Amino acid sequence: MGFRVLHVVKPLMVVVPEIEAPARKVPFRERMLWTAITLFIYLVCCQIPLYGVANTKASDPFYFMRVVMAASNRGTLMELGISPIVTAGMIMQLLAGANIIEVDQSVKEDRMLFGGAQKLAGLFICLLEAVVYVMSGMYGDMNVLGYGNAILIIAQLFFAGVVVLLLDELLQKGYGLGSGISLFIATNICETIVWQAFSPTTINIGRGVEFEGAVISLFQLLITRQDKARALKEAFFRPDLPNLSNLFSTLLVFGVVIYFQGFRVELEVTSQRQRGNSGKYPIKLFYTSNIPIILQTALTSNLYFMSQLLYTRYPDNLVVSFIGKWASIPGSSQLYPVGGLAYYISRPPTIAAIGADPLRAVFYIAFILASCALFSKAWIEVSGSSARDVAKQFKQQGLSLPRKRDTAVVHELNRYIPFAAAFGGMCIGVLTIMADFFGAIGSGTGILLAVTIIYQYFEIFVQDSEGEMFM
Amino acid sequence: MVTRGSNANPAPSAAGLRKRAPAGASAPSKPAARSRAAAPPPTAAQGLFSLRMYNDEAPGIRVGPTTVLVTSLVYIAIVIMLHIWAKFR
Repeated sequence: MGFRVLHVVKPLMVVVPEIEAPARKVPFRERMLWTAITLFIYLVCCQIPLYGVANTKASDPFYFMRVVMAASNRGTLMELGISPIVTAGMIMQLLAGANIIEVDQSVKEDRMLFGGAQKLAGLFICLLEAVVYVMSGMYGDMNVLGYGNAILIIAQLFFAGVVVLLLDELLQKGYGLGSGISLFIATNICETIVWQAFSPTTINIGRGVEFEGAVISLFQLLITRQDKARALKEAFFRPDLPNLSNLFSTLLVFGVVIYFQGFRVELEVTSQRQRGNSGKYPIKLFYTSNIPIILQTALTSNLYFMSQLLYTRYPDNLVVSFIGKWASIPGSSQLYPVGGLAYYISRPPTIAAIGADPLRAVFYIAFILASCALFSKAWIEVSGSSARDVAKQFKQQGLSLPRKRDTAVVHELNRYIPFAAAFGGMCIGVLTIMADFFGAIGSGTGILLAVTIIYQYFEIFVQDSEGEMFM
Repeated sequence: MVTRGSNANPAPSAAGLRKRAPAGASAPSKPAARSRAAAPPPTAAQGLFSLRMYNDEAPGIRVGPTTVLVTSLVYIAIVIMLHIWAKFR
């Protein structure tokens, strides 16, 4: 009963590419190989420029997503990168969470259709973004480009989206390790960190020739300057370029996040099939891991994207300027939010900006915390890891909590899981803000994503190589 | 976002039980086999695309991993050819 959107789109799913599941478990070494191949293809795509582009000097509507996730490169085949897939994931989840799309997570067909619909939405959004990019004159005026080139660019961007989707699924289906999206995000962020620490490029921004890399510049300053104390101070606190304090705060954030990963509540569980056996079921503080920030970033960057396009077209419309007002800082064409909702949910760029507009800082913090907690809570329902689902798995595996009847298991789990999800999401939010405050390289969100992803990969390595030994 | 193997869920706990089982149990191999046969439960930190477990009868064009590799390389080659062609035109 009711209108089932999923069944309406079912016929369309025939055209969605679907990776065949491996017939048997792929050996660990082979999975390492596929992971490396995937990464290689992605990195190559990040370097090849788009064909047919006239210029790329216009303001970049995805600038804020690039800063955070970094998993896309301006003007290359990976211009859109993972953003269509992540956006599709977010939209589908919001729709399912708001019950606009009815999904019964316990019905196999529903889950399958939901997954297919998500991919379909990803491809559609990819096409849409590509068209909007080209039409908005990102690659030069439409008259200069001509229709042939415009279609060629759209085709390249769309196909790049298909490739990313396939690579991601390839890894997830068990041919590789982890998922493509997280692999790409982590790679890019680590690349940024290593580059900013060791970059041998020299820059002159009015203080003489300096090395961009923080560590390299430390040695340069220590060798060339007479006053070693002042040289050290400059290496630590030079403005505008990556300095050692940025590097150390990045490492600090890494440490703190790894430390918090260990926070968990362990529930005693007993096996009903074998008397006397018991184990522990851990409920982690970071129950939903980095999902809240990924969704939150996807939400804000899409809002910025639309707000920018609308504001450049209709700057006088009242609703449009309520969503966001944009202006470029002198000397660049990049637009920054200066008013409206987009301004209040964007990060104050400097500490001075916090002092100038404390209301914005307060609003920003409140927004991050609330959205992280809400996304986290919504995610456990959608991903099938809520108390109800976990209780069902317990039953299937013949596990139960000691001195608790089966019906009480849900109740007991409900004491921890929703709390862990919401509070864990908020902690992730707080850590993000802290990382930004300390000036970690890249951005707080980016670092947090990188750490959580690397930690997950570490867990996979441990688990898989152990499994290999026992087999 | 990520993966099946990741944390927060029954997968590690099941593994923990499994490992513990042989120590005290009289018939260690049987339950281990049973729990391995069961489908891995979904995890909280699973990917935005958690299709892995119910992909058997999903509709769509079936492609193998080699096809993906070849397609991506062909795509990259085509774009590079376009660039080269534009240089010599």
